[in-house]
Amino acid sequence: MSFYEELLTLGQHLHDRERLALYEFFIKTKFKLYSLDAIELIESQSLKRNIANGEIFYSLSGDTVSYSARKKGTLAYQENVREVKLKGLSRFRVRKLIKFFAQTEVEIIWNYPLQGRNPQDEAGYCIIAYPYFDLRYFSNGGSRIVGLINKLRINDSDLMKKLNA
Amino acid sequence: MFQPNPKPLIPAIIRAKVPIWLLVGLLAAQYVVSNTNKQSEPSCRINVQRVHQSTYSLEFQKLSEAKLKISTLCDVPQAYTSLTVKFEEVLPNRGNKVVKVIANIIARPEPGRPNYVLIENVTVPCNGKGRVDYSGRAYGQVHLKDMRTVAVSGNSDKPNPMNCRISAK
Repeated sequence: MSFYEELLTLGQHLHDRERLALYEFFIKTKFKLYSLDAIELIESQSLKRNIANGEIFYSLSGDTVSYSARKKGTLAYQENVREVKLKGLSRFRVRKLIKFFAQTEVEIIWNYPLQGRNPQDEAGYCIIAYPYFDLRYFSNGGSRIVGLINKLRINDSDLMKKLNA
Repeated sequence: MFQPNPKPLIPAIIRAKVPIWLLVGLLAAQYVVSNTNKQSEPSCRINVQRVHQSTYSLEFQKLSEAKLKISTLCDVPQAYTSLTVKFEEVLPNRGNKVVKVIANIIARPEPGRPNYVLIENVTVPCNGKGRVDYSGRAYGQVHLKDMRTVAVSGNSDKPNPMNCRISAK
């Protein structure tokens, strides 16, 4: 089992470092796929995707993109889990959507993992309010400057190496 | 003979212009309304469990970690719970030292259990620290489905001594 496959099964046991590394990994490896998805979402206003044990329903309404999620095989969605405003030209909107997709997939893996070695408890749907593409994530909701400094200090090369192996 | 017309000691009572039955009705309505308001005041409680060692991390990841589970329970459905969680290391005779703060955790209830939220992925590594006492604290708000918010805060029962071994990760 690869490190990536293992992360897909960890769910609530995924550490914040691992979640952040997954986010960076997705941005790097799924950039083209996300770009196509972003164009499709802009054109059709909605998009469905799957990852790990979750289903994602993206919707675009005006300048606001949001996602709803549910565990595979269940009916009820967690509605509008995260909403983000898209600003600026279409190029910037696509770039923002790419980050939004990566963020969403990490949150799905965190909450709806594949069956692994350890059973997962039913614990609701958990996220951190600030996404990784907001510098305030790195300062616990404080200033963006502190967030930037903290972000630059992060060294996740060991995890990236394992993910890319 | 002149007979003075004594003024009544109590002046003629001004006759109530509002009928008595209406007054009684209004009082009764007020009582009902105030009682209903009291009943619908939402109540939420938070439970911060004792900090414990994550057996999963130790067994499968060879990693020593302190772990905290927090739940909120309301008598009405929640939209989500928003919390900041602090891990504190208890220093002998020197108070507590905050070792990790996880801010802005947002947790939504399972669709089948809308009054209850469980947050259980809150951990702090304690690799190689040996014997450590940890306590946990959580505070924030429960946002209810009907748009009201209820402030919640709580501490874990008492510090839990843990044996933090060396990490193999």
